[in-house]
This record gives sequence, structure tokens and C-alpha cells, in this order.
Amino acid sequence: MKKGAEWRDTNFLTPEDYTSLINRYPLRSSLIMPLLHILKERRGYLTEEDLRKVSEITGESPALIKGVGTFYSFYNFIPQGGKVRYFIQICRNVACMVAGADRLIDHLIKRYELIPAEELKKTSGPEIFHYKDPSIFSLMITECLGACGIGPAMLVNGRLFGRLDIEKIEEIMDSIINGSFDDMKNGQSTLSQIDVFPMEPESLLLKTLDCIDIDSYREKGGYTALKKAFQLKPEEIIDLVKASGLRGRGGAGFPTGMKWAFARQDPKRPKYLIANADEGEPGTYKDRIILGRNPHQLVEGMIISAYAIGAEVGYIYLRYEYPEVIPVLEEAIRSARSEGYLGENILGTGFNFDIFIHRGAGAYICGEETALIESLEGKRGQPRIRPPFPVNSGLSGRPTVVNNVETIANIPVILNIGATSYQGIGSKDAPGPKLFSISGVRRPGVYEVPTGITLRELIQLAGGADDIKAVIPGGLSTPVLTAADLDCPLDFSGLASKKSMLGTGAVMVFSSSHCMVRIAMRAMSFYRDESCGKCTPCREGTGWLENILKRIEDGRAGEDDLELLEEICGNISGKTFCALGDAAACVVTGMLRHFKDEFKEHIRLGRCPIGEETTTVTSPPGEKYD
Amino acid sequence: MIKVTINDRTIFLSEPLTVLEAAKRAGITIPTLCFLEGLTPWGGCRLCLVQIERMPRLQTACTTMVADGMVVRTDTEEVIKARRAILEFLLINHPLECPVCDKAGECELQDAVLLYGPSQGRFKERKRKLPEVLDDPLIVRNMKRCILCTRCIRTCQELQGADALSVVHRGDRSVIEPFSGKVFNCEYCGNCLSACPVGALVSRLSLHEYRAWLVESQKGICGFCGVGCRILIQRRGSSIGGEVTVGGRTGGNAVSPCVPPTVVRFWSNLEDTSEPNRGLTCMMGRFGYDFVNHSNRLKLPFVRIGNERYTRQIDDLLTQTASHLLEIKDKYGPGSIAAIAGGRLTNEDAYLFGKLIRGLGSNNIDSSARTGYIQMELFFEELFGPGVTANRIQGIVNSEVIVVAGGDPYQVAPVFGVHIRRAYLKGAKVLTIGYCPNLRRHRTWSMGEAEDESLVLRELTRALIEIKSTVTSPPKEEKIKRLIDILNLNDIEPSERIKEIAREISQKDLISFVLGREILQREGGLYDLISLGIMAYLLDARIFLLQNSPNEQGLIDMGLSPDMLPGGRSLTVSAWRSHLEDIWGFSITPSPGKTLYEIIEGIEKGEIKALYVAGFDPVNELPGGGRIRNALRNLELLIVQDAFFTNTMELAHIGIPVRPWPERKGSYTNMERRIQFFRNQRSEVIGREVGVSEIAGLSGEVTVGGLTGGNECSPLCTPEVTVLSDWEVFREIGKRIGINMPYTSIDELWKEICTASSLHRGLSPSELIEGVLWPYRGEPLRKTEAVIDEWIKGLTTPSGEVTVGGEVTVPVDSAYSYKIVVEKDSLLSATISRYSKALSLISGRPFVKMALKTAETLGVRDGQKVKIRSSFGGEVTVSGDDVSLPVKIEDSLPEGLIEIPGFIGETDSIGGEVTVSSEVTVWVLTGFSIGPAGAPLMDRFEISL
Repeated sequence: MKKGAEWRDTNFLTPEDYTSLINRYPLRSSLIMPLLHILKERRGYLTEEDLRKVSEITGESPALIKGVGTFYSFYNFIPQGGKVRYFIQICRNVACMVAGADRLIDHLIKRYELIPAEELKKTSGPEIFHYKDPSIFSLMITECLGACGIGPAMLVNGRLFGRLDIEKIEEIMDSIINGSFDDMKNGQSTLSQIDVFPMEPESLLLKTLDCIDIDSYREKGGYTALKKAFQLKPEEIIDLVKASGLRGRGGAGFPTGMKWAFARQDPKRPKYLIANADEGEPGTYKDRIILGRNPHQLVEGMIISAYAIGAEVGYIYLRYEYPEVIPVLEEAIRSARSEGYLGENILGTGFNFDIFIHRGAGAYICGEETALIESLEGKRGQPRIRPPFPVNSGLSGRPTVVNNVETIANIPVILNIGATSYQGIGSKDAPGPKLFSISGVRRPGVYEVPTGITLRELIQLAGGADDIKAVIPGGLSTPVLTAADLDCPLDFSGLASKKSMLGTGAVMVFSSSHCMVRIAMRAMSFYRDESCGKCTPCREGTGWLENILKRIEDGRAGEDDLELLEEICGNISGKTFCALGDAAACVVTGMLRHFKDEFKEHIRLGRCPIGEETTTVTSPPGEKYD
Repeated sequence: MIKVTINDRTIFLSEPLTVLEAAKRAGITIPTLCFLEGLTPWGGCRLCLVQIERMPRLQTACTTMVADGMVVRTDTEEVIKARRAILEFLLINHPLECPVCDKAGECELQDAVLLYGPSQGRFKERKRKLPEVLDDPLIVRNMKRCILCTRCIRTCQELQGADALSVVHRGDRSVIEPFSGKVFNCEYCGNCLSACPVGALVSRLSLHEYRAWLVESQKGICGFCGVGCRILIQRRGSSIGGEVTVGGRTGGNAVSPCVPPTVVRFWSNLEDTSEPNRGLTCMMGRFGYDFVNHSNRLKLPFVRIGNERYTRQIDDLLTQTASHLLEIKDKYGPGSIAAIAGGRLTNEDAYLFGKLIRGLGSNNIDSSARTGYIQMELFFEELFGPGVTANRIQGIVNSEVIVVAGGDPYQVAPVFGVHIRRAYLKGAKVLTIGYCPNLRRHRTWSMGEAEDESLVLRELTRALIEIKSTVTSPPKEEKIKRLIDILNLNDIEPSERIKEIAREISQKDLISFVLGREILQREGGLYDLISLGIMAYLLDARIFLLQNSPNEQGLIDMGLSPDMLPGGRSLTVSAWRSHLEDIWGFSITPSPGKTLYEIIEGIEKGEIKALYVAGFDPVNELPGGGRIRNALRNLELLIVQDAFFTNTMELAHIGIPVRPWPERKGSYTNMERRIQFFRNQRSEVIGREVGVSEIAGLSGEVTVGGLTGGNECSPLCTPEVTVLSDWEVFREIGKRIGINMPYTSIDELWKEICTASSLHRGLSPSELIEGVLWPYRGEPLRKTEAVIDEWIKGLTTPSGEVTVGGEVTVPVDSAYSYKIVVEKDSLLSATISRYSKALSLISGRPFVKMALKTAETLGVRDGQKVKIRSSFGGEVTVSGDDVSLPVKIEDSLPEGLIEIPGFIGETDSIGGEVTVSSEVTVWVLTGFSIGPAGAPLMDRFEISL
């Protein structure tokens, strides 16, 4: 196996083999993204020739392919001096930023005299820097890598390195440059770097943690839920899930049983199940643990879900940044298939179902279910008009259920312990075990706890934190809370009472040494980069907000800019096509609700009152077009 | 019934609509930007936000469906604030360069901001700067103005079916681009220009040349093909003798009547769902209008003596023409005079042309419709009755199955081809038989691309007969049984694939056949037509005939056929003759005259001495240009009447300039048989319709001593000359011959047409402006006298036996291993569009195209030059020089098929000027199969190294 590329070649085929890919999808256009992945990996970038090739195979026009390719962050169109040996992606999102990523990036650029890829600045989202010998490495500054507990983090050819500091990163970079880099030796397994804390005394979601092979999973009771499920009628399973009170774990909290019932009732066939593994919400890395360290629970959950709704094909829409889970998932699916849990006539029941992995290519918006479906259909990941909802008209116009990975992982639990016991766990309003990804605490990691635990309890469980100034409770898109809110229970109604949201259960804790303006600005450049561009308020408004926040950060703002900020947020909120714009706006309104004085102080002093330095990596918007 | 209340106005709807549509019905305007009638809603701009009771958030009116009892408000403070906010957002990155933007004055963003927007924006930072992209010869892309409404993209995808545009990148970095990011390299329909609400996509032809409020707009009909698209012709404000003021420039009286100002924009309205084009245009209709300014425009009448051409005053020339015609008639008899009309003549022209020629006592009059259109129409009318081909163009979109044969509809009639694509996108199954490159992405099945089309047709017929005989019942009609006998399908064994296709087709109800004239332009073509007739009968199909030029149908209806009188009445029936004789005031020769081919043969044999050609360029438009050229040299008198100095005009003894369609009035009858009257430009702009006596003073040339005097005339323009329309020329010659033609206007002429032709009875020009469909409220009686019987006679062998079935030879299978198709990229192949500089800029260099495997078998490589040889004209030449054309490997072509260019122009790439050689002899169609006495006139091509 080639060094540094072992994750690349396991899953995907050559373009010549596309015929074996095509049977996976209802639409030929769904091949576009897998083909672009294949072609890109060959050289490290895509050319017009590649786009034409994909056009030929899929029958879609070259212009359309180009539109799709350029939508996502990780298809590069500009040759970086031929194929680079090492492609480094370093995270700059909030969690990594407060852990020191900005200073690290600044240091790297100066220390290794990296050259910004000017041609990219004009067009594509992420910023790329070349080493003076571009064939050795390129550095891409990217958004959340889903390793917020071990920030600052970066990927080297897809392999994750966390808890970076100047010394550690120099060691890696030097070894890359002098050719002695061995990622197998230097890099630990990504997943083992993230600490995981199953629920005490008895874990439900993570009982089978690290049961990668099917036998060890079964030893701990795996696939018994599936057998129980097959003794029930699909409608009975739906009723069970309804009774359990399970609500979606992806952010919106829609009752899962109800969603299933809608899809089941629609007479159209075939139906599809999609596991949303596009865990893009900054601060969140919980699904990564299920995907990579408890894969069978997802697979088992998907089979039961599919049986309940009557789906024959399932997809795992996997975010690009999680390459290391691909071999794990592939193996889990393969072994489940060979044991008769997947494929035709599963366990003699006459039920057919199979699972395929579809890789994203770097687009936060694809976590939104209709954008995800568009992406799975090989289009630009832009949300669709609703209604019709995916449960009636999703993938290829067929009834489609999109569930978060964690939601699906709860299904075997419900089957195993029963709806009544399940409903007794945690809050009435959203019962069950819940995974929280925590950063900014002494023992960051993924924690399995019952819903309704208070913020304070959770932080304490995670080793506590000093000098808490602010907490983002549910991923970047949920409004910030203060130390005064720590006794708020972590469930939908509790957080709503504090004008925030449970979101994806990603808790980010900030101390008084962190500048809220800076965090808001960083958050906004994330939304601006990730806005799909479809609707006006989000496309134009996020950039405008970022501009003003930048102005405040740089000391060029006036008092009236705060009013303007609030008014723009009001003009975005509730007027956008999907929730991304709303999220961007409510981040700022949340900040202003609790930390207006800090913003005012920033403006008055013309600098950061906390003393955070401005870094070069946060290039002011607008300059990209000069 | 759905009850909706909008701003306290309650309306009841019988069908679910969007809030936007419902509001429109209630008479309430909701501002929109990304919405465009006929496109799928996008919901992106958010300008149409409205308040709906019981909904917490504002909703977009364009995407929200009304529900019973819904209460909507479009005028609350919240809504108005939201609109202002959206417009403020849009103006963040929109440059306020309205003073230099072509769209100013008709810009939807400008209008919306004026009505609803903030007077001042609060964005302080720099706007995004993106350079204007001027790489494309026709379309200017100005992405900093783009508001990303994606109307252009949706138009390109959903209406044009071309998918040439896409949003690239995302968020506020999004721009709309063609694939290359520079040159569009697309079909250049330009519909995206109509779709763009702002000045992000504008036409380069009129860049910075006009202000929207200074253009005159005139509804008109496009004259490039047989679809008869409704267009809006816009021109910069000017009138003869008036002042031209554009962007500060004053032009004084510089506009001559025959050189219109350069700014003529054709502007279609996508929201106009009126037929037949639904607001769509093709590249010719959109960009080709500049042909009116081409230097090959014939501006002055001339006579040729030997090799010298001399200008004449128009009235002298017309007198001379009349006397020459009478001379020939006296000397050789009326049968020595013949006339050929082209489909560019209007109905009025055609009627008078026929009256003129018949007034000379000759029935030798035929038209370009003889190259296929008229035979197909007569054939199907004989089978199924008059008017069977009069199917509404828009109706094709509702088809469940479309069978295409005899040409690529997109090449012949582009907008009709687009309708077929739209039908496909709506779910219709499309079967193409033969080479159909422009439906490549919009067809279900493709057959006979590089193979024998006739065989495909016969197999399909056989398969359908079998299905229909078993499933329903065998054909009962005697006519159809006879056709089946003639085809002799006994030895035909359909392939499995064809059987499968036949099964699928036969299960559908709404089946349309789209047929082009190429069916009849190959050996065995008649049998193919018979196959199609049987299939149409079995499937109860609607028949659409592709009409190449704007008015071939009109020529037929006006009786420009050797055996037909106006109204489609048979010449041989004395009652109809005498009806006309009463009106015309002269007697009509009772025996039918010669067809187009017989006329050519008659000239070759010396039987025909005088030929009058109008609106047609036989040297260029008929196969075997060399043969036609040689034939025409035999004539004693060749009168050619055209807007351009055509190849045929070069041989003319008398050349008469006329106005091209953008500069005149008249009516065309399109392929769906709809008469559409047009005043494409206000007559006072180009010159009044004046009598000849008024013109007399205008020509400055002095003619002394008959033919010998005068100055040598270059065909180039001398200003200040009034050019007549065709019908006026016919009228003036007619008067001089002594035929009663008293009309001073088209209205008066129509009065006579409506009496003379019972098909057009009771029509008036004013109602023709809206378009009148077959049977034009007249009497659609038509004689179809045993057309098929006559043709079958032509198919008999000397021994009198019918040789049919397996003995039909097809050019592909025997002597020739490759199928050669003549590319008609519709840009420069036609007589008029080749004179458009704009179109020449986007037409590719000529290549001999083939797939890689074909090239390997032939032993040629990419770029290697090969010669093309025609079986008629010998080697293909340009200006007398041999032409070697480079081979281009194109893998989209099927193996075994070779595409040769239909036209070879000469492009001087340095100055960007285009000179179109008038010497091109390559232009050949594939040939004819129904020649006189059944003798096929068939052109074949060879390719040599």
C-alpha cells in the first residue's frame, strides 16, 4: 500500500469502472461527485479535460459539471505545480482558533515562506498556500475538521494531527520537507486521539465502542435489535420509535417516528434512507466517533430504519474531512453483507437493503437535508424549495428519509431496551442518551450523557474549565450563553428558554482571555464562505456582517455600527431560503445580547481590550476581488 | 374552489396556484427578480416575500402555493421593510454604473429599487470588482452586475435545453459562466440575454449603442426559417430625413433608405407565451439581423451586357424587363418562359408573381418547396386529407412520442427543434432516424445515424404492422394496403431493438412525426415517405413538416406550382380557371407547366429561353451548383430579383434589388400553416411605399442609347436609392405587360387575393397581424389528384413491373462504405444568414469531421487535409481553387459517418472582417429522389486524400 495514500484507494474506483458505481444510484448524475473525486486524486487537482471526461460519462453538460465541481471546497481546479506529495489542511474555525490556530498558521506562513496561491484567492473558498517547491506540499486553510476537542488540528493527506503547537507542527513540517515524514509512524490514529466518555454506569450508544469487527460487535449484543425488529411489522417499529420520543440529533430535533411515518405512507417507490454523516457544524465531532469506532451500530440502525420505512437503498453521506472512517465503514458494510444483514432477502425475511457511501467534497450546507439530496444527485449543494419535503419527494423525486448518524445509532438502543425505558432517560422533551462534543475544557472529548443534564454538570464531567466567560451550547450556529446560564438543562426547551438551541450538542467553552468580537468575526467568515449563494440575504448579508465585524476588530468602527449589525441581522433572519442565514444572524445577535459592552469597548479603544493580536490569515473580505 | 384573500381582496381559484400567480389574478403586483414565467420557481432573490396569516415567517410568493382560506398581505410594514432590505443587500455588490449600462431604463433591478428600495445604501466597504468579459464575439458578460437570479441558467436548461451556463463557485464568489469561462461556444440562441433582468448579459452587437428609452420597438415576424417566430425589432430612434441621436452622437440625415442604422436589436419576450416561439429565438433570429448591412446587398438595379454590368433607373429597368419578356414570348411562345420562386417571398409577392407569369401565358412556375416540402405535403394530404400537416407548433410539446426523420429539426427550424427538446424534458420519448446531432442529448433512441435510414424505416414499419395487426386490427383502408404492397416488406426482419421500440411507441397515444425534406433527397426516398405514411396511419400520428424557408407553405397556397392555382385549386379544372380568369382579366393556359427540375432540364435542352428567379438562389441552393450554373448560361434572359448579389445574380442579365424581410411588410405562412402579417419596420424608416414615378428622380445615373450607356455598376451601395418590395416589382412589370394590377397598397392587394383564392376568403391584413391558422377561414378544398399513382409510375421499370422492396438501393450500403452528411450548422448555410457578420463570427472553421475509428480506417489523422469531390460538380472549389479541408476528429460522431461542411467561407481573422466568397460551389444538398420522370438527381460525395 502506498504510503500516505492508504485511505485513498480503498473505496473508489477508476473512471473505467464507473459502470459498477452507476448501479448504486438512481440517477446517472450522482456519478459526478465520485468521478470528480477519482480524477482529482490522480493529480491533486482537476482540469477542464477531467470535467469533459465526467461530462461524457454522465451525459451532463460540461458547464454543469464545472458548476458542481467549483461549488465544493475540495475539488481544486488550479494546478499546484503538478501533484503535490503532501496536501495539508489546517483548521481555522472557532474551536481551533481559540486553541491557537491563527498564531500557528501565521507562524507556518512566515517560517516556511509560504506563497499564497493568488489565482485561487479570486475564486474559490479556502485559501491555499504553496511551499516554494510546490511539489512537496501545499497548505490549505480550511474550516472545521471535526476535531474540535484536539485543536488546533490539521490533516496531512487526510491523516489527522491534533493538539498542535509550534514545536509539534515544525517537527512535522520539517520531516515533510526533508523527506523523512512517515505519517504511519508520526500520526496516531485520528480517532484514538479523541477522548470518548461513554455514559456511566451503563452506556447505550457507545456500549460497543471500538467493536470494529462484526464478531466483537455481536459479542456485546450487536444485531440482536435487528432480529427483534424483524419480528415486528414496520408500522410497529415506527410506533415504537414514536413512543420512545426520539427526536433528531442533527439540530432541528424533528420527531424521528413521525418523519418515518410520512415516508412510509407515501405510496411512491423505491424509497431511500440517507444517514447524514456530513457533520459540518463547527464544534461537533460526535458522529465521527460512531462512524469510525462504532460503525456496526450505525449499520444496524440503518437496516432497521430502512425496514421500518420500506427503503431498499441507503446512503451514508460522509463529509470529505473524515477519510479515515471510510475503510472502517466499508469493512462494516462488507461484513454485514457477508453475514446476511445486508443485501437481498435479509435473514430470510424477504427484505432487501444495501448501503453505499457517498463522499461530500467540502460544503457545510450539505448538512441541510435538501442540499444533501441535491449533492447526492450530483448537483450543486443548494437547498430545495419545500414543500415537497424529502419524505415525499427526495432523492430522484422518491420518498427519502434523511436522519443524522446519531439518530440512527439510537434505533438499536430503542429496540433493545424498549420505548418505555428509553423514554425514561433524560428530559421528557427529548429523551434518550445524547453525545456531546466538548471543547475549551480540561478534558475535551465526546461525552455520552442523558439529555437534560445541565451545562454546569457537563462541564464538570469534562474536568471543568477556568474563568468561563461564554459557552456556545450546541455548535457554532447556536446563540452564545454566559456563565450565568450554566444551570440551563441541555435539552430543547431548556436552551430555548435561554434563546439558544440544543443544536448538535457541541459545547464550546470560552474563557475571559477570548475575544468575543474575534469569535464572531471568525464565525461570520465561516458562514460567508459556506453560504451557498442561492438567496440574497445570506449571500450578501453574511459578507456584510463579516465586514463590519472586521471593522470593529480592526478598530475602524463607530458606535452606530452595532446598530447596523443588529439591523442587518434582523434583515437576514427569517428571510433566507434555509437556516444557514438564520444561524449566521443569530450568532451575532446572541453575541450582542450578552457581550455588547465588550463590542463597545473594542470600538472605543480601537483595538482588542483583551489584547488578542490581529493575524494575517483572516484576510478582510473584499480584497479577494481586487 | 380555493378561496384566497390578498390585501382584503378575495378571489376564488379553481386550480392551485402560487401566491404570486393568485395575486396577479387579483390585480396585485408583487415585485420579483428571480421569477420568470415558464421557468421553475427558484425562490432565491427573496424580493417577493409576503405575509401569510398563521405563518410565523414571511414567505416567498413565487414558491408558496395557495391553500383554501389563506389570507395574504403584500403591503404590511414588515413586508415593505423586507423588500427594502433585500434590495439593499442586492446593491451591496451591484455597481451603480447605470449611466453606462445598456440595460438602464429597462432594468428590473433599477425599477425595483425605484419603487421599493432604499434611497441610500449603508454598505461602506469596497464592492466586489469583476472585469467585464469581452472574450465572446456576441455576448458580453458583466458579472459584477449579476444578481445571481439564475434566470439565464434556467432558461438555458429548461427552455433551450442546452445547459451551456452554470453558476461556478459558491456564496458571494458565485459567478455565472459558460464552460470555458470566456467564449460561450454555445448555440448562441441568446435567450439568456432576454432572461437577464439586469445588464449582466448583454449583446455585444449593440453594446453601448443605444438607450432603452430611445429605441423604437416594432412587433415583427422573423424571416430566417419556417417557424415564423414572433420577435420584437428594436431600432435606434431615427427616421428618414430625421435626426439620429444616440448617446450624444448626432447623425444628421446620414441614414440612407437602404442602409438602416446598425442598432437593430431583436428582442424576444420570454413571458410571451403566444405561439409559435413562446418568446424564444435562435442564433439567427437573435444575432443574424446585421445581414441587412452586408456589402453584398444589391442596391441598384442593373443590366448585364457581356461581362459588364450597367445601372439603370428602376423605371427604365422595369420597362425593359417587361419588353424583354414580351419579346421572348413572341419569339418562342409563352412556354419558353419560366419562373422559380424562393421561400423568402411573402404571400403577396407570391400571388403577384404567379399572376404575372400566368399573365404571360406560362404555367412554368415552381418554387423551392419542390425540394421536398410540397411532395410531402401532397402525399400526406392524399392519404389523410387536406390540412393534415397543419399542426400547431407548440402542440409538439405535449407529445408522448416524437419520431424525427429527414433532417435535424434544430438545424432546419431551430426554435422548433427546441420545442422537441422541451417535450423530451417533459418526458416525451424521442426517436431520431438519421443524423441528428442537435438532439443528441434529448432523445430516447437514435437509429440510422451512420447506417441505412431506409432500412430502419422499413423495419420499423414492418414491426408496427405486426403489432397493430395482432393487437388491434390490420389496416382496413385500401390506400394503406396498397402502400404496404408497394413496400414489399416480406423479406424484412426487424431487429429486436426495433421491435422493442415499436412496442413502446405503439403503446402511447400522442405521437408526432417531424419530417424534413431530406427524406426525399436520397435514393429510395419515396419508399421512405411511404414507410412514414404507413406508420403515421398505424399510429394515428400528427405530422409536422419542417419548412426550410419562411414561406414555402405560402408559395403553395398562392399557387406557385405548375399545376396549381391560388388557394390550392387545380389548374386543370376549368371552373377554377375561369373563376380566376374573371378576376385577372386574361385567360390561363389550361395545361400544367414544368416543375423546378423540369425547368432546369428545359433550360439545358434549350426549350426554356427566359427565367425569372425571385427570392431564390438556385446555383447555391440546389444540388449540383455547377450543373445549374452551366444550365443558366444557356438562357437568353435571366432575371434575378433578390436583396443580395447572389451566385445566381452573377449570371443575371437583369438584376433587381428588393428589400429583405426586416425592411418590409407582408405575410408569411409558417410550417404550422399560420399566416402572420408583419410590418417588420415602419415603412417611413426605410422609404415609403411609393410608386415608380416618384422614384424616377432618385437615381442619378444617366442612361443613353439603351443598353450600352451608363456607368459600370458595382453591386455596392450608392446612397439615396429607394428599393422596392418584391410585390411592387411584379406589379410594375405586370402593368407594363398590360396585366391589370391596380393596387397601391398591400391592403388592396389582399382584397383581390381574398376573392381569387377561396382558401383565403374573407381575410383582412389587420386580422392577419395576430396570425390566422389553417384553413384561414376559407375553403380548404384541395385537389390531390392521384399524386401517389403518378409517383408509382415513376418507379416502374421499362417492362412495366413495379420494382420495389428489397431492390431499393441506398447510397450507404453498396459502393460507398461511409455515410457522408452535409453539415447544415444553420449559421452560414442559408442564403441570407451567410451575409451576417455576427453569425460568421461564431461559426466554426470548416472541417471534415469524423470519429477517431473512422479516421483510423480511412488512414487519415487529425488535421490532415483532404479533398471533397462531388459526383455532380467535380471537386469542390472555392473561387475556382481546389479546397482541401482539414480533418477533425470528433468522438461524438458515430463511427462510419463523415460530416462535411455545408458552406466554406473565408474568414480574415486578423481584422475580424469577413468576406464571404460568392464563388463557393460546395453548397450541395444531399440530392433529390423525385426528379422528372422518376430520374433521381442525386449528388454523392467522395473524399480523397
